[in-house]
Amino acid sequence: MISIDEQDLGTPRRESDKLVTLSIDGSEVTVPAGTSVMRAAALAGTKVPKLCATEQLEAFGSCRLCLVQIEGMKGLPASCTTLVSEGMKVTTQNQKIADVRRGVMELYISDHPLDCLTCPANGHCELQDMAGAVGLRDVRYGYEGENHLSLGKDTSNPYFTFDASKCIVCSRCVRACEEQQGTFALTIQGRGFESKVSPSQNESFMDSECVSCGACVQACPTATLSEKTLIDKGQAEHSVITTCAYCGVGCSFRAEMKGQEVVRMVPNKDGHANHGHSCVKGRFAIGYATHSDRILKPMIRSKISDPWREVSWKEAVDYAASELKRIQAKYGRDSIGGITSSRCSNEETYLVQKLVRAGFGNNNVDTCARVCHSPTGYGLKQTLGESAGTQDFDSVMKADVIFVIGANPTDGHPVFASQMKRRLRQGAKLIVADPRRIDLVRTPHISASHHLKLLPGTNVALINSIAHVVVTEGLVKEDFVRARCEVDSFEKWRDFVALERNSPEAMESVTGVPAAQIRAAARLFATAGNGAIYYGLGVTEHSQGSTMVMGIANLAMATGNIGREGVGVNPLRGQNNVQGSCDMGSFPHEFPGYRHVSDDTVRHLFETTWGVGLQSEPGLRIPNMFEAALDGEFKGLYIEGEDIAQSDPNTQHVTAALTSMECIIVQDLFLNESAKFAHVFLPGSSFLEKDGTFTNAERRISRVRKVMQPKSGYADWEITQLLANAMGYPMDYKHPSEIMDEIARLTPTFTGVSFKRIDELGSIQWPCNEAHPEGTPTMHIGEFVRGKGKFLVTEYVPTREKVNARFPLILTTGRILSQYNVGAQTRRTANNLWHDEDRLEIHPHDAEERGIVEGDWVGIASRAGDTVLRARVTERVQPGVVYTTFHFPESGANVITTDNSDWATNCPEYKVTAVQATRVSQPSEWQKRFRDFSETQESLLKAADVSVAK
Amino acid sequence: MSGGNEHIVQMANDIGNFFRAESDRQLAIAGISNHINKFWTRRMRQKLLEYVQHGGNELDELPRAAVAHVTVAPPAQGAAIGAPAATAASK
Repeated sequence: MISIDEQDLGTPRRESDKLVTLSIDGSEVTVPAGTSVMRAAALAGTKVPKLCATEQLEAFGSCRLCLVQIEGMKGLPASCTTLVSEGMKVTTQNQKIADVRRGVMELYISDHPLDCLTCPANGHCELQDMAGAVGLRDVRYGYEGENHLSLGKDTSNPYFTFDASKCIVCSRCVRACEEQQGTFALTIQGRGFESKVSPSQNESFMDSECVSCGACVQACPTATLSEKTLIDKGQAEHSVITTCAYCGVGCSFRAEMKGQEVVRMVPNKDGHANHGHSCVKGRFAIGYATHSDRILKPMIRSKISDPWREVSWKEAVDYAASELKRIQAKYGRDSIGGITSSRCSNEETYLVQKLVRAGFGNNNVDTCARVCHSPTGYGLKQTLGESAGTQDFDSVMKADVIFVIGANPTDGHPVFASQMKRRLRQGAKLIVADPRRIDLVRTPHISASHHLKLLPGTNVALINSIAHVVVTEGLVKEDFVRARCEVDSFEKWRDFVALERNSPEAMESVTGVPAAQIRAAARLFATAGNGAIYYGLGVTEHSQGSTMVMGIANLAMATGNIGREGVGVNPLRGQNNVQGSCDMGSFPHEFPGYRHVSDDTVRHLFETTWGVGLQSEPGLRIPNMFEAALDGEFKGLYIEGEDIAQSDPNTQHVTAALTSMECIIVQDLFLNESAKFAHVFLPGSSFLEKDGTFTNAERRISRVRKVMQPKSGYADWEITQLLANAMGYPMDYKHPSEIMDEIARLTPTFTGVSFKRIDELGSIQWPCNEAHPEGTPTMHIGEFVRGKGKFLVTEYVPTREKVNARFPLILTTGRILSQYNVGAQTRRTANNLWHDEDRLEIHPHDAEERGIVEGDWVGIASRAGDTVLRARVTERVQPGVVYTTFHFPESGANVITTDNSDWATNCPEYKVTAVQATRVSQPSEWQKRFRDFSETQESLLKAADVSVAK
Repeated sequence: MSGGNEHIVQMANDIGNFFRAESDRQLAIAGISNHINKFWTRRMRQKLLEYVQHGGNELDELPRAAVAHVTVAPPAQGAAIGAPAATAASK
């Protein structure tokens, strides 16, 4: 069922310079060439009855309900599949058409249960609507004959049901799975009367290849596919457009509401990032927001061995402020700091960094982008001049060759992956560089031209050898480079990559990728037309993360693939607001807009606006905070929405640092792993409970809108404001829009941004200013932000994390579709049915050598620590490489990862850890300690009899 | 290596490894020192200097040469930190 507040124009929008004027029922309408008669009629205000057509899918022409009469054409053509032509005269209503439509509807209804009053789609059922529209008053055929009314329901999926008795076999679900999602999990099995929708090979939805994106449910015109929440709660009475709080795609949704209760989340067809599509997380996994684990009252305690004590907001905030001030008085101004999160809004992160800089009087503020995309910010700033991706998502539809490096879009960025797959099915070529065989390598109707299965940690060697081919085989776009880039830097880089030691042949033993394959991939990328690079944490989370980002930018510039649609350097940001949290000045060395704190002019601007003197020295990064804590120099930390005890590497190092501090303030929905080390807990608000903005991977700023009151009483920005005031630094914002107004006043790339402007435009891609009043979908057109593009020499430096006889395997980590980051949200939903534990993927060869079979407990030991996971034996990983996810704290994935980090940004090297794997029979010592500690903390929470969500 | 310095020495060596690719030694040294000055806290820079003054055995040659250009002197500051600025207008 489409959203209650959306109108469906029947067939997709077409873009054309050529306009066509036609007459529909005597009224003239002008539309772009290629538009269907159905859509033209809808645009003219005439609703043509339809069942198999929907705006989200290509016309199919099967239901025969949308027949119209067109002057000069024989019979009654289907208006959905008939395109407009100049001067066309269309009649949508007359007796002949009405008779045919009524006959068609009569057949449909003769095999459809007449339980409308108790049907979940009642009032929003398209079949019901069409029966009314065609004036159906009688069904002559009765139910005596053979029918489908007794077919059962498939309730296997936790989020929706499939009621076959209500199915009219319109194929909308099948087409949605194909066209929108690109999974091809559904098909119509059988012919004629036997036709039925079949997930995979006639399996249940849960057992099929279905990825639960919800496209079929949205496309269904009846109640055949219905959300279980819709069935349980009934239909919503209003909807609010907001932005998903999961990954960096930033999908727009309509939260369909009953009062303050969410009935369902429906992807917004006008959403600029997602165009009406969704994934299992954003569409369905919002149960965490009302989960009983949520803590709704502030709590404090003196020591982490004390029971929590539930207190008033005033007492909690006053206690937190007094502790921070006490620590500063005792240990110095720089002994405290704050951490923002990419899960928080722009306005929230802005306020936290403002509190730290202006209220704490230091620059000890950092964000979780430190551990994911900080190398992107650094590398792209150095080469292109701006710490952001260069394109919008739609740009991929003009790419001719797509190079995916260290990213797994179908799991990490599923909605964009669907768009990318759409382009690939249209014929764009695909190169994948990844140690694992990610789904994109071979998926229905898509096969990568090249899968460069490199060894973890050798990205820079790979990009250099690709560049070597481009340079030595004369594939450089010389005119672009000469016109747009610093020629000196290009020549230095060119001479470097041309060295024999960077050739694919020389690097083959390093990367593990056959030289011929690298040469072929390089030629394809450089010569296929528009070349677009998409990358993820498989690029950044390395000791040479920043170097690799520079290497990618070098390649894009050398091949002229930047500054127009269809090309570019596209970092796929992990979380919803990674880009935004960085934009907002969350890094310790820079103010909002990526301006260094030592810049006197910029600092003076902030000092005068914020009314206080500010430090000109960079503050501590997160890993530096841990070191300083262990050195006894850093004692107080305010953490908003982040869980460093689970997400950061070398867990035991992190928890030792946390244990050494005197006041940790955690502001979160749940008592997360970090909160178990906290002294103050401030209950946060979910994205449904506050206003604000998120900025996605395209630099797209979208509104987050409050659909219910904060369950703890305050939105997060209000809590930060309370803390600031208690610290003696006054803040008095009345609404997050005022915070954005301040950001716009202080940040040149945000000058034109305001809540009002976002509401008008739907979303805005920064830079948005006088030069770009409606934002900037594509950057670096004509000129790079830094003027001339700068090539940087990117020598391959092997990581110090070496395999040896003791640790012979390389562990690399990642994520899967159904879980999100540390899992705090998705673990508290039915998504656990797809993934309820982190497993160790191991190649059959490595497994056999160790006597490991599927499901065995496997001990994984590294130089940092050890843990135990169950084995998944699979050829997705190559011999010598093992893989796991980090969604469950008890897995201890980050107990194994090390302190090694990117040279420029200290982004941890999550992707390369030397390990040994052995078959074991019990949990690791760390896991036993973790379990004991967690049980103790749970009991300390229970002892406080705290208020939790109902 | 003296206690507590492993982390910063490793960071300095990692930075040095990137700039080693720069064929102009002076540019490489400037690149390292600029990076450290720009991204490290003064306390971390002080520790690095002290480490070098006490031998600095684990520090590679190139970053060691760059240490001479690492600054630790308090910078010229406008308004006193934390004190009201000239035109106070905090929200």
